[in-house]
Amino acid sequence: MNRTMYIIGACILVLNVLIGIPILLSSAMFGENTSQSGNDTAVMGLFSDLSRPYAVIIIIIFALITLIYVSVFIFNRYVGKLRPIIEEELVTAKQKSMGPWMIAWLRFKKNKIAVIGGSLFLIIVLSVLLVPVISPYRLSEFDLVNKNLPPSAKHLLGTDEQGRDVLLRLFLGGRISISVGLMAAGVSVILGSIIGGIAGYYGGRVDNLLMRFAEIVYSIPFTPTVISISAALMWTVSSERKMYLVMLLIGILSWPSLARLVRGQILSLREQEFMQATQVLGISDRSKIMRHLLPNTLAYIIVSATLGMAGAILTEAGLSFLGLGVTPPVPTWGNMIQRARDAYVFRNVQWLWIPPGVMIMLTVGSINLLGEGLRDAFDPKGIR
Amino acid sequence: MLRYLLKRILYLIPVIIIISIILFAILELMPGNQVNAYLGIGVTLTAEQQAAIREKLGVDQHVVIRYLKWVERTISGDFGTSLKYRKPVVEIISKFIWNSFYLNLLSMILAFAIAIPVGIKSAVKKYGLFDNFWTVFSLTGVSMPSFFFALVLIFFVAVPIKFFPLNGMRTTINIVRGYPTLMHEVIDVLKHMILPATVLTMSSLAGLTRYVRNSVIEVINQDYIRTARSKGLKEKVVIYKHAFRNALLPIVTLLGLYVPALFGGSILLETVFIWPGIGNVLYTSILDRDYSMVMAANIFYAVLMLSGNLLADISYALVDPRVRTR
Repeated sequence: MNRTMYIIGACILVLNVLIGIPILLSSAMFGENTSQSGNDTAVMGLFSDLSRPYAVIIIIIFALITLIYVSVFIFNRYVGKLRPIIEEELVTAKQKSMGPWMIAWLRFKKNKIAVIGGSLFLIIVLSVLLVPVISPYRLSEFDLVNKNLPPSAKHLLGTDEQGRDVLLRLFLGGRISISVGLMAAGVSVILGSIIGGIAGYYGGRVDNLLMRFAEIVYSIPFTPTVISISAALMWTVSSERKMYLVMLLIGILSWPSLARLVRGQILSLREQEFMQATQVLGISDRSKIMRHLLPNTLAYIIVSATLGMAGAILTEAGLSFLGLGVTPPVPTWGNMIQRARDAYVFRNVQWLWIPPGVMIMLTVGSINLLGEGLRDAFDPKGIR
Repeated sequence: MLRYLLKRILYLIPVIIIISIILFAILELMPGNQVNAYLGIGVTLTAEQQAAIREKLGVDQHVVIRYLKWVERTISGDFGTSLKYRKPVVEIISKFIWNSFYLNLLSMILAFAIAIPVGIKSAVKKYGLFDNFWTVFSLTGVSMPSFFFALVLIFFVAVPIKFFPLNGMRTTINIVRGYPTLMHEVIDVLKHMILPATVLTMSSLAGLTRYVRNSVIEVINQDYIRTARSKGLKEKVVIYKHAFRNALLPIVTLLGLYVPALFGGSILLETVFIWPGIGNVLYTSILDRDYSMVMAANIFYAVLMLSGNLLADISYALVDPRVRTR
């Protein structure tokens, strides 16, 4: 148990109090007359709401975790000192020659900003997963009588022009936005590390060819191309599929910078002694690249994936804002802000477009903090 | 140097060809046909008339033939005619490009004018209050989507304070009647520029200050700075004469990247502020399915991007003698 755990635990507690309890209360008070069973065909199976009994189980688990955290916290604070001093840990890490992962983890813990960023991101992910589950409303129910209601106890963030609960849409939209970011970063990491790895390992003609190709992709103007492509496919791809399209597009256009980085690293790693050892052992090329070279560049890959994810979330938001990304009825933060294009909504129904913008800011900000912290933690230049 | 330059320029050609092929193929997938886009909505024609228009536009041929024809025309300088404006595409682009240019020029000057002193100062007093403030500032700048910041500005500044225009580039009445003097026109356009320029400056400032800061920090940690200090030079001389000049290297490279971007214009911002720039033109032509316009605008962007990279490399080679000799 250490400081990071405290912070995460405290954050979960705050989250529980801030989000969980009001929603539970409001669902207990008002849930009866509004909740109906409806099939959410708009949001695909992967993202569909869990049914109500699961919610109870999840809340119980949640409460148990909180309880454990609180008890450990109290134990550490008042009974025994379980927490070793991190500075000392770092010194012993050097003496004991701990692995690079251990040192990176210790340094990451020391970096307060990174820990804050990481736990904020964790909170956002958790709430995005859990809030729709404990919400008394469903995405498919609309209630034209109660449209454009300002925030109240019943609807914490008000309702939209079809009488849907904005809070629910906000967090469901977060699921899509964050998963688009994750997948886009995933595609770019897979392509970038494999292509960079192959180019760096084989060198010569293969390297030349692959790097020329990377440069061509790199010089494709990102925004205009993505906008043109998704506009061209706007009418042929269904609303649900567009999510995958956007992920792929962002991923395919953003791998070259990582590929360059990985290639450069592998070029220098290739000359080191442990690679001669693999040569002697007669290991196949594939496992040389995958098991011996790429893991050594993992630090760069992780940092690039984190920052790439932040970028992908922003790109998706921009595309959806233009109406060329993920389109309604599937909610994302981008297409929720798009409602502000309507002059009436823009001036009078601010709770439709300000919350998603703030959520994007918080999410991207926390990922950026995390990425910067990771970069410092993995930085081989030493302890600052 | 000349050989290097020539190699780089020759290298641009396959890139542009590949981009144009990708774009052409994708526009081919676009639903709807060019005849409808040409006529607009609500016009019905007989089959013969449609065939005539199709022949006129040249859409009755095979894709490959059309692509080759497009290449032929493009090389001779003819980018085709816009279906919507019924004017040559080049004419429209060259008309709207300046609107983007003015806006970008203003915000770029502002961004560099703020970022360089701020970057130096926060590098000198690393982790001080000033540095921390700008770190948080640039973090918010990087994390906030520019279009959302634009909307927030309009909502909280332009709507309550009547002085700021909500969008557009000129006051409507002046578009109709014209301006009495050039001075009036400049002031009116500048007034419309305040909000979009603020957003643009903010979004480039965020990255720029970090960049300047990091490159100054890297220089300050070097041995010759310690030598300069131990010689007893004034801190000001050390920073501005010894450190900053060398830190300028990467910043100049960045400037090379920025110059072509001046003409680019941001699609998102221009659509929010309804600024009649090139980004807005691309966006509306995509929605109107104005094929030749979309093609030309994308090629234009590709050329801008490539020349930006090229300019960055060249300026780096010009400033840094070590690169030149290679």
